[in-house]
Formats: sequence, C-alpha cells, structure tokens
Amino acid sequence: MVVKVVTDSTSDLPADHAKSLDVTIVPLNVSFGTETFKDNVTITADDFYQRLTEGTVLPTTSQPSPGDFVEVYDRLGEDADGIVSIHLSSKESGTHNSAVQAQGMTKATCPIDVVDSEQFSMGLGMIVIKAAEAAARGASVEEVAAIARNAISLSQCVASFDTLEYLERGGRIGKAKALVGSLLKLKPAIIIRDGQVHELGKSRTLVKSIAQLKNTARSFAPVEALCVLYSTTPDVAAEIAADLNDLLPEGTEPFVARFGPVLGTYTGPGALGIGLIRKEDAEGAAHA
Amino acid sequence: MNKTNPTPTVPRSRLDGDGLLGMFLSALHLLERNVDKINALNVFPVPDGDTGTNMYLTLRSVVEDSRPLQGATSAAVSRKMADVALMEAKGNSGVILSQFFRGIAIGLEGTADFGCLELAQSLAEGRKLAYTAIGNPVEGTILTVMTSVAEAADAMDSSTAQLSEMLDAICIGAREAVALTPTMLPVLMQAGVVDAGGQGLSVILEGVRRYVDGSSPVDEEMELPVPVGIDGHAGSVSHEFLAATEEEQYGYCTQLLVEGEELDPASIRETMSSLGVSAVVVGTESTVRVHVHVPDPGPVLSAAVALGVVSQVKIENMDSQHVEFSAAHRQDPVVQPLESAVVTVVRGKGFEAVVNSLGVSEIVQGGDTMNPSVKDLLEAVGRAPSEQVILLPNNRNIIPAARQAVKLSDKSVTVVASETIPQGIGALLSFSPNRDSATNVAEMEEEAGSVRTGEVTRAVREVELNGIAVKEGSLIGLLERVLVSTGTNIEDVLGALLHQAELAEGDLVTFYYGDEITADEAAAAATKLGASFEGVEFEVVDGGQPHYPFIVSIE
Repeated sequence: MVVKVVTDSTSDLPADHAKSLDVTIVPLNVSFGTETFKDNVTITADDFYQRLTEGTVLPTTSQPSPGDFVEVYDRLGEDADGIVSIHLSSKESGTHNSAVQAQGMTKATCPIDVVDSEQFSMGLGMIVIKAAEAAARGASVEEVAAIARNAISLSQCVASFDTLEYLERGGRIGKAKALVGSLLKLKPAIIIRDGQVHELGKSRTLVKSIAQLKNTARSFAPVEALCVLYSTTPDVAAEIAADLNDLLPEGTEPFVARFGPVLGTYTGPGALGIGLIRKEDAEGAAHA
Repeated sequence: MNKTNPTPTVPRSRLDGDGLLGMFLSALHLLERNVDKINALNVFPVPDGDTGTNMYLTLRSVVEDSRPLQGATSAAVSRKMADVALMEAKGNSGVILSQFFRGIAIGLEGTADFGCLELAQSLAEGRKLAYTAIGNPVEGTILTVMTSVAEAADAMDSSTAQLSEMLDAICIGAREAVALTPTMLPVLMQAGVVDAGGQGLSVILEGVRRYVDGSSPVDEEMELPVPVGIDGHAGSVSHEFLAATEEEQYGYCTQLLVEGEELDPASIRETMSSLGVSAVVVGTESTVRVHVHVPDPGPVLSAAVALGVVSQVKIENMDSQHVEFSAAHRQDPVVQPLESAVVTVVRGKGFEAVVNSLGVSEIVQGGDTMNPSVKDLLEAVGRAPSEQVILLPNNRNIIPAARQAVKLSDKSVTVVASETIPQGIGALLSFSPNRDSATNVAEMEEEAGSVRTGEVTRAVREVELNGIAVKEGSLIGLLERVLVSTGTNIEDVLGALLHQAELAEGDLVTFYYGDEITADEAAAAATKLGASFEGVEFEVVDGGQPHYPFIVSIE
C-alpha cells in the first residue's frame, strides 16, 4: 500500500521533516507588489523577513491554483494507491478549495482525500506528521485520512506577535478583533480554534508573552509532540523548546520550525509560536 | 446703593449683633453686583439653576429677616440668620450657604460679641456641617473653599490677631481655593471655569472683609481669580463644553422643606441619596431642607410627606433646556451583554482612553484627592453590561468602598484589589469579556501583582522619611508608595526613582505623563533616561492625570 501525503507551505513543516516523511508541500504565493514568489521555494524566509522589515511595500499572499495541485496529484498518482491532501483552515484561505477543485481535474485515478485541518502552521504540520507516519507504516488511504481527521481535535497552535500590525493589515484578524485599537504597545497572543484566529491574551513584555505561550502549552498536557516556531528569533525559540522538554515523553524532544513567508506576512518579525499534538487519551485535559 | 459701608468704625476688634448684620449686609451688596458673573460660571447642572442668583436670594432673606434684631447679641442674630437660611435656602449652593450660617450660630453660641477666636470656630463648624450635609462631598466646589477658609482662620493666632487681619487671610485663602477648583474637578477644567459656588462664597467673604476693614467700597464687580490649569479667558462656560454636554439627561431638581418633630437629617439624607444624585439635606430636628436631582420627583415627595409637613416645594425640569436635542438621543445604544465586565476608577483623560481601549465597560472618576463613593461605584456596576462585574479600584483608599459595593450590589461583583493605575492596567491585560469572572479574576490578580508603580508628585509638607529630607512643594519620587527620591528637577527625580527600581534587561518602563507635562517633554525624559538603562524598553503614554507629573509602570 503506497499512500502519499500532501500539504501546503503554511504547515511550516521543516524541509528535512518533509523529506524524511515523504510529504509533498504545495507552496502558496507571496507577492511584493507585482513580484510574486512561491513560498519557501523561490523566496527564502531570510530574504522575506528582510524585505518585510526594510521594504516599503507590504506583501500579499495567495492560495495555490487548482493547477498547482493537479500537477502534484498527477505526478504522485502515477505510482500511489491513494493521496491524502491536508491543508490549512478553509475558513481563512481558499487553499483547501483549490485542492478540492484539483481532485476533479487530475489524471490520477487513485482515491484522493482532501482534509481541512482547521489549523495553521505547525498545528497543521503536526496533523500532517501523524498522517505521514501512518502512511509510512503502510496504512490505507482511508486509515491515513481517518488518522488525520482524528488528529484535528488533538492539534493546537498558539502564537504571540511582537505587534498586531501585520495580522491586522493582512486582514486575517478573525475573532481577535478585540485586540485592535489599544493605546498601549501590546504583544498579542492568538490561538486557533475552530479554524479561526482567536485572542489568547496580550502582554506588555516579551518575558510575559513567552510565559503565556509556555503556560498555554503546558495546559494541554499530556503532549505527544511539540514544535516551537519563530519568525526572526531562533535563539528565543530554542530556549522555549528546551524549557518545554519535560512536557514530552521520554526520548522525544521539541523541535524548532520557522514561520514561512506566507504566514510571516501576518505574524511579522519577532513572532513566536507553538504547535503541538496532545496524546490521544488526553480528552478533556485542555482548553476547549 | 451706598458706595461705602454702613457704619465704618475702624479698627473693629470685636463685633456685636449689629456688627454681624453689617458684615452680611455688606456681603449682600457685593454679591448683588456679582450675581451675573457668578451665574456665568455655572456648569449646568452642577449643581443646578443659577448659583449666583440662588446664593443672592438666600443671603438677601438672611439679611432682611434678621434686621429687626438690631441691638441684639451676636448669638441671637447668628441663630436667627441660621434659621432663616435654612428656611429660605435656594438651590444646592443656597443650602450649603445655610450650613455656613449654621456654623456661625454654633461658633457664636452664648456670645454678646465676638472676635477672631469665635470667627475661626464658626468657620470650622460651618465646614464640618457642609461636608456632612452632602451625601457625596466633591472637592473643587464650595466645600473646598470652605475648607481653605477654615484652615486660613485656624492658622492665625486668635489671641493676638485683629479681625481685619484674619479676614484678609480668609479672603486670600478663598481666592486661592477658587483658583484651584478646576484642577480638582474635571468638569470645571473641561468647561474652562472656576467653581461658581466657591466664587460666590469668596465674594461674600470679601464683602464681610470690607465691612470689617471699613474702607473699601462694596459696590463693584469683582475680578475672578486667575484659574489654575486653564488657559486664557475663564469667565464663562466654554461653547465647546456646552455643545459636548447637550445630550446628557439630568432629570428634575427637586427642593422642599419638611417641618416635623424629631426629624433626623442624616437618615433623611440617606433616603434622598438613594433616590437620586446631588442630594443635599440640612436642618434641625424640627425643620429639614431637601435638595436632590432625581429622574422622578414622586418618591422624594412621598418620602417627605411621610416625615412631616411639606412646604416650599420646587421642582424644575433640568432637561427642558435640552428638549430639542433629547429626541435624537432617546434611543439607547444596544449593548451586547458580556460574560463579565470591568468597572474601574481612574483620573485623567489619557488613562480613561487607555483603559477603554483595554475593554473596560464603565469608568468612575477618582483617585487620591477624590475618592468615589460606594454609590458611585454601585451605579457604575449597575450600568456595566454583565451580571458578573470585576471592580478595579486602582487606589488603596478606594478598595474599602469597592468591597462595600460588592456587599450592596445585586450583581456578582469581585474586587481585584489594584492599588495603583499601572496595577489596574496590568490586570486589564489579562481580562477578556468572553470569559467568566472567576477565570478572569485569577489571572488579573496575578498580572496586577507583577507590575511595579513609580510616581512623581509634589510634597505637600516638609518631611524627612527614609533618610530623605523633603522640602514642601519640592518634587518627590515614590516607588511602590515608598519615598525614594526628591529634588526640583523632574527628570532627576524620575531618574533616581528608576535607579532605585533596579531595572533588569527586558523590563518595560511606561511613563504615563500628567496634565502638566507635554508629550514632547515626556518623550525627551524617556529618551534621556532610556540611554542609561541598557536592554530596558521605554514607552511614553498620555495619562492626563492631575497632581502627578509622572506615573510610571515597571513590568
């Protein structure tokens, strides 16, 4: 049984993870004015954040075309028994929709299941890892898709931003609107719930904002896997990861990933985040 | 009308009943000439109608009805004056003036004539009575002037001073207090005026002084004191203020007199305070005068009739001047009920804006010099759009009132005992209206405790504390309410305070600058001081608070 797992670049799944798990990543697009780049393919995160902070033009993002997915499904379908394609929340992006359209356009004859993760970033990435691990074990397309769908309720993603500015200007403020309009400089924190951005809290200092992220992560214990995200401060992310080591089972360590250019458009520089997946038996142990 | 006083005999070291009559006849003359000027200061509806007219009518009755007592003792005349004032008091300011006369009657009890000692006692008694007459005393009003006047008299040596010297000091005290009223009462600052009632009393005292002095003419318009904190012309309420307050609803100004037996002014005051606002109740066991602003005068009348014979009923619709505007504002905005809501106490436009931006539902004005009453807090709790209300007092002295409000409210109220505004703002950061009160409170208490507060203000007296000698009027720096620095330069005092705070890398220092500091000055201070604290972030925010050039939050 060969089942291929596909995701998109907003999973922020590190390239080496994707490679070892045999996950195919379809990039979204990020544009500065008329210049358009494929997320993490034709523009690196380093270049992106430099342009974001130094440039005057604000980037915009766009979903992959159905054609982008068709191309991937066609290629993978040649020697796969099935494809499970897992994407960011359909409530905040048309990516899922592009994938669904591609389902009806591809030459691939194997079954293709498109899954709405209701998540972002490594909240999505964690679901993808679970699915890819199952596929590697030889699970069927139905099994892999079921594991992915089951993982949705176990997956969590929180993030704190140095400023709300980028999220607000990008129009992805969602349910976190209450954060707008403060007269004090705030570091807002968000959590993804039901596929949308919700306010988690607000802090005045980096120390408190990091504490809030870590406390939230701890509230989801027991945790199976955890990833710390950053946009421009890898050292801070590494420290957080080390601090949360005890949250994971023996022999497992948190890893660090980076908000790619597309999500970086909304997080801005200085953002931090945590994506995690709770243990299956952890029902009711966490925030709704 | 006479250009000079009725019977000048200089100097007057002691005065009898006729002297007392002469004093207030002189005051009446001076007040008459200044009625319009005082009316122009009236900030509708604080307290009501025309303050100058009300005080004049009250004083005129006092003088006219007491005149038949010529040749009587000062005790007899003062008693008569107090009785007349109570019966004839017009408006809020008239009622408070009646307490001024009641104080004189107490101070002059049993005297044939009087001097400095009795005058000082009279003013102290009047002040005390006036404060108790009002359910919720507010500074920046005639009360503040009465305090200043009583203190000025008290500060003199009554055994050696001449009456005219004491009255000189009293009048200076009155003018200074009037000039300061806008700094204490924001509505005056907004309206660009000094307090009308306070100015009325100042004019009356000036008339008294001129009688005792015996030389100055009493028939002239008096210059208003230059108000503190207001630029330029301050002789009348600004048009901007009138426009901004046009939509407010005030209800009925209800006044009446109750005559009965064994009346208890204190309990009547409590009743009236519960029915409306601006309640002033004064009187004796046999006669009580009531003044109160209510949405419906009915319950006031019913309560009064139950006490005794009611007369001199006067009901004025304070909204009638605003009728044409009211229709447009009748529609209440639809307020979405919240899971939990916050009521907080702050002083300063900037702070109001900051806490509003952090999701506060109701703001009560108050702080060090102006503690809100339990009733103020209860009303704000009542207006908050949730059954679960969190109260942030932001001041140690307001916490007891907040705890009282918890007991009295029919809503579920919790106090997060913030002792400073920065603590309150810290707590607000972890407030979310979509969570229940208990969840919010747990996090808010933790946040409030993680913020330290620094303050720069002025010493009100000379003192030595913690080995620091402070001169009166000099600047002082307080860290967590402990004196840590003093000096004459704001930046120096602020800098010394921050050094005492032992800032660490990653700390955030926020300067909330007060109403006497400009944004540029505050930014310059932050830039200069920021350079000496590496790794510490500085932010400058408009607080707009009075009395404190800087309030600093350290987190």
